[in-house]
Amino acid sequence: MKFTTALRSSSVRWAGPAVLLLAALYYMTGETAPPSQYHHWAPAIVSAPLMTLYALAYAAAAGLGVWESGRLRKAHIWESLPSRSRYRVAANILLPVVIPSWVVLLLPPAISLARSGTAPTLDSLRLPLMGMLVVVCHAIAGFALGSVLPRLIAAPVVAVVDWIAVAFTRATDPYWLRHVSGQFSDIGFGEVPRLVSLAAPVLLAGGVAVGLLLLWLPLGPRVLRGVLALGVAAAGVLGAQHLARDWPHDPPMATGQAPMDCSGVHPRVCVPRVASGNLDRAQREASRTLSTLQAAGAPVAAPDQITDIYNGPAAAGPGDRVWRMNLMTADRPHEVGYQVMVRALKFRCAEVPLVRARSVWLWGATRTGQVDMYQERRRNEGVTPETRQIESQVSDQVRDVLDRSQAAQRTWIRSNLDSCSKSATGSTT
Amino acid sequence: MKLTARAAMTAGTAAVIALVLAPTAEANWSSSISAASVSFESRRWSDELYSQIKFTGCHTDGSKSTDIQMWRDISLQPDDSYDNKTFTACFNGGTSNGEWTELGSGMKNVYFQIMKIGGSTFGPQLSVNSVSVDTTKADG
Repeated sequence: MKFTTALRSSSVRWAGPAVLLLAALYYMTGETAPPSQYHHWAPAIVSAPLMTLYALAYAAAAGLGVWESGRLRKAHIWESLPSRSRYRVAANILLPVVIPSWVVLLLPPAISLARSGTAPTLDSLRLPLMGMLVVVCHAIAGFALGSVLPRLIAAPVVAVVDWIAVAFTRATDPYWLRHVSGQFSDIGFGEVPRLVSLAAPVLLAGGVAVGLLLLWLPLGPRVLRGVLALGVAAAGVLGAQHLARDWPHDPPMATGQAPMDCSGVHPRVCVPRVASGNLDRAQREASRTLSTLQAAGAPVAAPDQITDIYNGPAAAGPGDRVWRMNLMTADRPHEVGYQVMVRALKFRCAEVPLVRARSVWLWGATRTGQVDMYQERRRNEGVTPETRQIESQVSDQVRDVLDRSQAAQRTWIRSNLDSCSKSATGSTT
Repeated sequence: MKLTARAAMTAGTAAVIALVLAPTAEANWSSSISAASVSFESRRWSDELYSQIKFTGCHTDGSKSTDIQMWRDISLQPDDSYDNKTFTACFNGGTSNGEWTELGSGMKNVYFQIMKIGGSTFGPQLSVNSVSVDTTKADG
């Protein structure tokens, strides 16, 4: 049967628009940030709309697979075409079935890429391609169920159960359930899902689908085919579980994949190329802030390199030689310098009284000419009577400290960074 | 919205739950919890990469522990769950501190939910004198 003939007679003609309408609804309501905020990182732009669409794509394929299979059974196609390959008949019928689901996985990411003016990359195709493979597997599973269940009841039930089974893995423990479901969360800048992350859901869905296909083999006794099918399906499920059983919330990701540009030495500052317009200014701010604090007597161990927090390994680097901070979105003057100041004034203790911490930061901001940035941070945190009172104490203390000699300020900043007492050491002389 | 949590809330107890919101900012905020039952959800806040939740002054009519889970709110879908942490120190005069470092980049609409009180998913209620949320590891 020609593809166009199969398409004309398929349930896709009436179900396809409904599926695409649902996809549009998810696309519009599920958007947490405009695609332009992903800094032209194509894999992240693609992953964002897909996050809520995998379950819909799989459920649609499974439900329509049930329906089409039931339609064949009702028309006695298998009996009337005994010489034709069951696989070929099924493929002819299922190709139109998977197309709406493939469109669900391809069109929304394409729209997001177009909206952000970003070209797709090979890496950005990993998630849609994984989803398209899993769609085929769900369609095959639906087709198999439709060959034994009444389609009028089974098609909607299978679609709903499939959606629930996939979508709710995200809210379920243990984590490996979500990693084998074929559903991914959105990914960050510089990240690319590793192939093993994509292999887990394909292995599970593929194992089940291939197992079902083996049942239709025109060879061997039925029992043997059943045992073989069960073995392949079990191997797929267990293999996927084995792969993903120890993964944390996020599956394995390659990080730091975005190209970087670097500038300067001591510190060498590196930012993703898409944000390198402010690189030289960021390096100057970092260098000036560190040297000013050192000259003011703060015990600052300058890093060898400062790099962007979003484009690197999730775990912090060893020691204090590489600082990772938010450079990419720091596009205004002093945003980098202020972060460097806060990082440089390192408290010895994990818990520091609020007034002391802010006194140290305000002192550092004043010495490095970044008071406006300190005040902006406080405003962003919200202004209440309590915060006004805290800021009044902080201002009084810092004003007093700044009136002292250079040596007294050096003693003050060192004692405040070193002390673990609950009260601020504002009276140090 | 997490469908199971919403259903549980709808059919939930008649406890008076008051979350007294302090600052209206998106970043760090503090608050308190009064007589909350299991499945209580905090306010939502916008966050990325990291969140720290601190409870001080916990009181309950059950055993002295509570399980807190971080969630990401997803429209029209089950919410995304993160690690579950058990708080006990806040029942003994200390501060319970939970850090979630796997939130990923990109601003996410997150909240915490009380999953258990005293090891039970039904019955006891929890009050917390001070709840504080710190959304930036670097501070400043």
